[in-house]
Amino acid sequence: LRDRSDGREEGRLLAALAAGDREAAERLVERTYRIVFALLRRLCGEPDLAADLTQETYRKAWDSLSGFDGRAQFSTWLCRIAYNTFLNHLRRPRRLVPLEEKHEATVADPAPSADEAFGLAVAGDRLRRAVLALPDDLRFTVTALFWGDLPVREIALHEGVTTVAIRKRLKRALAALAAALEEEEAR
Amino acid sequence: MNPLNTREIARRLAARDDVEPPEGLLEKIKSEIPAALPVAPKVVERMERFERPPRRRVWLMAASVAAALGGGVLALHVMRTAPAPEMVMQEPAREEKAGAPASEPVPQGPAGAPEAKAAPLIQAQDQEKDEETRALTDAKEKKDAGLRALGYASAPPALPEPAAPPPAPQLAQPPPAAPAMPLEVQSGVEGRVEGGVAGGVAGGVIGGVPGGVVGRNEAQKQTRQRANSLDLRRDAPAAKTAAAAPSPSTGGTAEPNDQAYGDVFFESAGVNPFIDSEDDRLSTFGLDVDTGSYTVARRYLRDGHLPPSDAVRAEEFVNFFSYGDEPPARGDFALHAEGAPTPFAAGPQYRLLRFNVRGREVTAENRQPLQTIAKDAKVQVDFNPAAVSRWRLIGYENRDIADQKFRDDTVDAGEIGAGHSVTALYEVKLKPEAAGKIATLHLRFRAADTGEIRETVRDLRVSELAPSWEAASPGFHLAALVGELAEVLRGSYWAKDVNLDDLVSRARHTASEMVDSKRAVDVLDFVRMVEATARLKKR
Repeated sequence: LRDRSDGREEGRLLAALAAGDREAAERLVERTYRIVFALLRRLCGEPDLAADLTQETYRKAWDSLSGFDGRAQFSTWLCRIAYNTFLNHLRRPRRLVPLEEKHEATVADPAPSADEAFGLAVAGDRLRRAVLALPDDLRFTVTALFWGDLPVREIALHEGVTTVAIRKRLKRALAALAAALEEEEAR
Repeated sequence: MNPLNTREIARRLAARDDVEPPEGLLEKIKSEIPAALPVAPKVVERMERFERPPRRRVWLMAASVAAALGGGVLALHVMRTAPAPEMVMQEPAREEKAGAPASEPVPQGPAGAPEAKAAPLIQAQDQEKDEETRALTDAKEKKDAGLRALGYASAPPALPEPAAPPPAPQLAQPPPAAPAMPLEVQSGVEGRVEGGVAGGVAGGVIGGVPGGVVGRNEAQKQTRQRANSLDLRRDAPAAKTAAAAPSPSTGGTAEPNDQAYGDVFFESAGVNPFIDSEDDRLSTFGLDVDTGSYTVARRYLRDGHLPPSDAVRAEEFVNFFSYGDEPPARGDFALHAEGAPTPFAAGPQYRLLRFNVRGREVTAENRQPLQTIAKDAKVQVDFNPAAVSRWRLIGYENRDIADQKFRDDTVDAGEIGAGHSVTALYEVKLKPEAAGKIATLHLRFRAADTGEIRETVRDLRVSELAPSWEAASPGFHLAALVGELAEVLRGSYWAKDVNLDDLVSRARHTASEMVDSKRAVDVLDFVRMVEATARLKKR
């Protein structure tokens, strides 16, 4: 449920931020934190963990703000960071060397293995697990659209592809999910 | 791959069990905002694109600006060249048609040709100097609000804290045409722009539809008359107050549909009553419909507030979506009609009818930007009293045209662009023995290319109605649900008993029916609006 008026307001706040108004950052947080939290809660299924990851998302966002290029809306970019933050969280227990946090915001992580997804916080929800087992492009499209409430146009802008490509991804993703769940239910 | 499965998946993915963020989370995040926050300069540059209005409205804006400039130039010309009384003498017919000063309600008589809109200005010269100055100032205020509402001038910065520096110049700067106009020129568009804001109509080309309370059956039409008179109050001082009022407490500082809440002019147009078809079998209205009310409401709901009921216009909700109606194989328009029982109806004899007028497409090589194919397009639905005992039009309260004006081709009723689609919903009560024709849909318009007046007709017969809600098309389901949400949000008497949980589950089901369509994402948004409404209404 967002439209270009979000972009307008975000644009104004970013302009104010660029002009040195730190309170604009607070306004940006107020406008976006619910959606970031909602996305993370749907991704991980746990409100407490989602709250922690929401905080972490903003920390990363501030760190890499200079890398935000304005191609998509600020909130879209945030959702992508939240998504990557979640994936990093999944991988964390097995990680020997911590990733460089600064670059997480802009580099998409590889999918967690089915095992990782299965064994961690996502257990108990087959659909969520099936989503997390999708290839990254499909997975991000599904989560951004359904759980991050991002419009197709915004996802396309962020991913640098056409809206038709996003719709095709969505179609493929839904087909893959249906197949995965059917298989699981048949077992 | 079974398509039903993908629908089910989409339905499950879209299911919502929203949990509020824990208390204190916002404060924690805020406390971690670092002191220095570098924003890349190109970001500010790129964010400019959000300042630009959506492309589909560009032609309306261009036409509005052209009309504003044209009117202003005419006004200037009139003021500078001729002594006022003589000018008035030279234009008697014009003044008769649209002679009321802009501060009074528009008369019910036939509206003149487009140039008649300059008439209030001509008359304004007869007034005292200070009055004129005041009028010009008022006009400027109204116009500013109008321009903002139309999306081609920036609203004042919505940042709540006074200490905030103004947005970067390129963000705050409106397109050059608007601010460059001298004050006198701006006065030329007073009536036009104000009308656009009041009616929620984007674009001055369309203008207001002169209301139709002439010759109505008094007893039966009370509500409709109230609707019209309220609508015609658009130029009254109250209008100005409303436009200048601070944002209502139900919203944040965010700007829906490119407008600040405070700039959106909400005025109740009432709700149409049921009308006995024995008393009045004709329903007539203009086809100039905007969709702004829907996006305003969406914004409110997204922010966790119910929209003010006066901001909800059912016809703007219904026309936000297209329902899969095909353009004509030949001719300028295709007329579509369907109907079915709905779960929201007042009783078993009731049916919801959906009428659609779909303009022809223009081939890419022949297309000028958003080409107009028809002018002064009006619809008249003629109910057959032998089959329909009563009927009510959902929405269009301020698009009402007096029935006898349907064939009066001087009534300015808006332009229709290529590919345009307009939908109207009626609730009707069928007679127990109903058979044959239910209603005839008439469309009358002036062809934009030849200037010729044309009329097309389509009958809807009892045999064409779907026997049940389930048997109706997905497009019909969506239209019915969208109309019903508007009814709920505007507090319509006819929706007072609606079961909101039922509405939510039907909306979800309809979304799953449409997951493969181009509209899937908008439909999902709609489901979330219904969910939010149900949640907020229950509080």
